[in-house]
Amino acid sequence: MRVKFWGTRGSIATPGPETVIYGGNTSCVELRCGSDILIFDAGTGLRPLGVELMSEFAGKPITVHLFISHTHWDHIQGFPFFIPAYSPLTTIHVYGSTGQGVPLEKVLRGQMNADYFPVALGDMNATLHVHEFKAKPFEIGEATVNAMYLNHPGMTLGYRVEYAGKSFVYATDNEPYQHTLEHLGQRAETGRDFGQDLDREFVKFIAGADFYIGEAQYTDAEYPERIGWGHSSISATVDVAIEAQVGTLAFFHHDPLHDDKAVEAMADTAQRLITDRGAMLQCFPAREGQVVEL
Amino acid sequence: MEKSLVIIENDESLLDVSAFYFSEQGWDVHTAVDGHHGVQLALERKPSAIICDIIMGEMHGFDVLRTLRARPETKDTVIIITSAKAYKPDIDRALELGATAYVVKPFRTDELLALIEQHLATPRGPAP
Repeated sequence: MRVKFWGTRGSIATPGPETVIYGGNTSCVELRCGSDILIFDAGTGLRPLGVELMSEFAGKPITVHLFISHTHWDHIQGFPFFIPAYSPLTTIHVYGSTGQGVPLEKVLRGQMNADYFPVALGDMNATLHVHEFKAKPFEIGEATVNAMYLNHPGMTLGYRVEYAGKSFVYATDNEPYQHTLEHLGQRAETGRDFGQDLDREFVKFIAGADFYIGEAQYTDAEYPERIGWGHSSISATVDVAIEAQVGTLAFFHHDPLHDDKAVEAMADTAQRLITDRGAMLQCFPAREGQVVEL
Repeated sequence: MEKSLVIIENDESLLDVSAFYFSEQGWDVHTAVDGHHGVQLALERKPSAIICDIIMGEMHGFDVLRTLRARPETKDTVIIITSAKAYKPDIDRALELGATAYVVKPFRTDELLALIEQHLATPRGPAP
């Protein structure tokens, strides 16, 4: 497995001198499993990935498997700018959940409505296959893919891939249920307990993963003011990774208000937590352009 | 006439607890653990009320709601969405799609029963 981060930012693209280290493009991660190309999310990082694929394949057919976590802007806005989608030699398999009562293809088509973009989805020349979530593991070549719903407004999926004895998890835009049910539900205490049970299901989903891309949009100081926004604090994500005994956590979906120094300060917080707990977890902030071999 | 209920819920322990409680209260209860079977069951049984979860494999609750509201058999049935999703956009969307009410988990079954009884006593229909 080879992982490459093409976009690590959450919410909105954040270019500029203060984000040059960790990057300004929104969510997009490439995973190579042998010759199979899996892509997680189509944020603005998908555009440079498309440029790279056109160069690599140089006129040969391209097949990609694009996994959409959910259809908020920062996870789909790169799709209209994915150059391989305009080539008749490209086949794109898109995977994701239906929206809230709306088919996935209709949501993707909607962002390319003439009011927003000059080319319609149907005018792209690539062959597009849309596969909606069926709650069963499935194979792509030698890789096995599983998915589970996360806690975020809308229908949001996290994915787990097993390939050649290694496991990879991509689970962004996720907030612990124990916090939302304690603060937004009808019953604080029973809500927290009920939420903890649900959070344990997520721990099981990522358990033992070699590489976990998990979101940590907020510092611990910021999170209390953002409960109910659908994201996690750095401590919450590190704690889950330790409990699940994952090998490496790349924290992801950096907040647009966090410059490189702020992201590095969060990495320091994470490292202190890991040391305090005597855990073996490796942890770093996901950086645009970074390649990790598993 | 006996009141009937379809419960669509993928948490089987919660499903069992709710089914037992409503049965004890004299309801004719039918259950499904995913959205596809829940829709089939609701269309076959035409129950007095439906309780439906959101996060389920094989068709989530928003799609169940959209499907059932598009069918004449269930367009006016009391449908209570119960979910651990506590976000306002999710609640708003469920109500837009025609949910009678949205209850954030965990809930008390006696309160859920009272809510259903209240809505059954207030027929749905266009505002005057």
